[in-house]
Amino acid sequence: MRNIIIALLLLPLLAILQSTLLPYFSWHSKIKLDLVLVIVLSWNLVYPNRESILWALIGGLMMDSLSGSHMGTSVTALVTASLIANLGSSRVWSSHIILRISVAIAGSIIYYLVYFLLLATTGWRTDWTNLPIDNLLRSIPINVLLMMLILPPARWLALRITRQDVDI
Amino acid sequence: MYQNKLQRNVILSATIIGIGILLLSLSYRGSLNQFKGLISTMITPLQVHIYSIVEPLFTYEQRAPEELVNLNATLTTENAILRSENIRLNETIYERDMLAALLNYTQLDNVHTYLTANVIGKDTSSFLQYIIINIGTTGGVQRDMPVVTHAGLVGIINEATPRASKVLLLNSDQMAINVKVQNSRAHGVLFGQASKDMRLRYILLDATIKSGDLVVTSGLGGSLPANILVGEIASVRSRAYDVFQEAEVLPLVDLDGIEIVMIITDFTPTDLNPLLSTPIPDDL
Repeated sequence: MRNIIIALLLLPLLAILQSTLLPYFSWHSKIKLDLVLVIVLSWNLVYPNRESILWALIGGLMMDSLSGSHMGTSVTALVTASLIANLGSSRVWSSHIILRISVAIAGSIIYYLVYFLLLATTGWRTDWTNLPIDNLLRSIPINVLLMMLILPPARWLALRITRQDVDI
Repeated sequence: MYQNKLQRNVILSATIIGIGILLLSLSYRGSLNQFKGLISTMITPLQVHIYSIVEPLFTYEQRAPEELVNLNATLTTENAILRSENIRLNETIYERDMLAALLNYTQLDNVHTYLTANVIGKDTSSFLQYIIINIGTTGGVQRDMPVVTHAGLVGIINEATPRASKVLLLNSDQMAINVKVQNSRAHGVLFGQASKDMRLRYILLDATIKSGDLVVTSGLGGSLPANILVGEIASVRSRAYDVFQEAEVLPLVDLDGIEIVMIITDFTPTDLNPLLSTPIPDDL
């Protein structure tokens, strides 16, 4: 339950920061940092719990309410991406840097692909040729970097708020 | 046990994806406007508060006293009205020449009433070009109202909740505006693009357009008032074997650094749908 309360307090704030603060760091739209995506992926990696998947639902709802897209677009994309992190994590490998980088890259790619697909499905004019350069290449390196910075405090928080279950 | 946990997580994810698709479907039909408005109403005060903290940190100019800020807002509005008036006068000269022989011509009044709003956020998605402003339906903003600055057109209100509104920017690839080139009177359609620049299309080959020409709204289609400054032609592509010529247009408004906008509140877009759906008589 504490997991959900933290999500309800943290994710609206992060979505607002993504909308208000991060545009100042976009260097004329040259890079794009997806704070909510990175936080949700990181949390699912350090704490692969059922409740952690609900982070994607809460984060997606907040993202959609601050976006011109249809409600449900970010929710679906974010849950799909967080499932990758959730499945990719295990007690042994979740702290390995290769897994972290892989999850950040795979999660970002899946998020953008699903989001773009849903935009196209709901009638938005979409240019698939610009997707790799305009979004993936400009976002993924910064998402990976941010994830590396966020994971240690996320792990610390996960250990603080919950007792670690032992999987046998 | 680990496998069971994994299985439960997958089932939960699939359920939430199902919920997401259901939300998407309902939103597509317009059934979730109230829900979206409710969330927006809850988070807008926090967004305004955070913006008021964040914005001064990244605004390098020295903060002016409040009187100067208010004076600046008044002058900015006056400037917008004067620019609009200037365009109207230029248009009047052209129209006078064209319509001098006609009687009972009614000149459209192009002086608008404005509502000033602060930009409090941008779209959270990198695929979409929206800004969020701090005035909504309770402040008199409605969907489809044009949004401008003293420099020219910014976009249109795409969604209005009680306390905030979303503005679709003119360089969005969802945007298509009927425009004319002021010098040559050539009409065309201005499209936003994913690369965030704008392309002017469907200009007849015999029209003379060149770099530096100003592009203004034509008013055709009734979705925007006529004669709002939109941009400046940067380059022209004209080939003899093409049906139309094209031009690259740069917006006159700095759409990345925009902080204050004005909403034209006295313009009602014309709904052409009833005309389009008029049945064609059988004898035609």
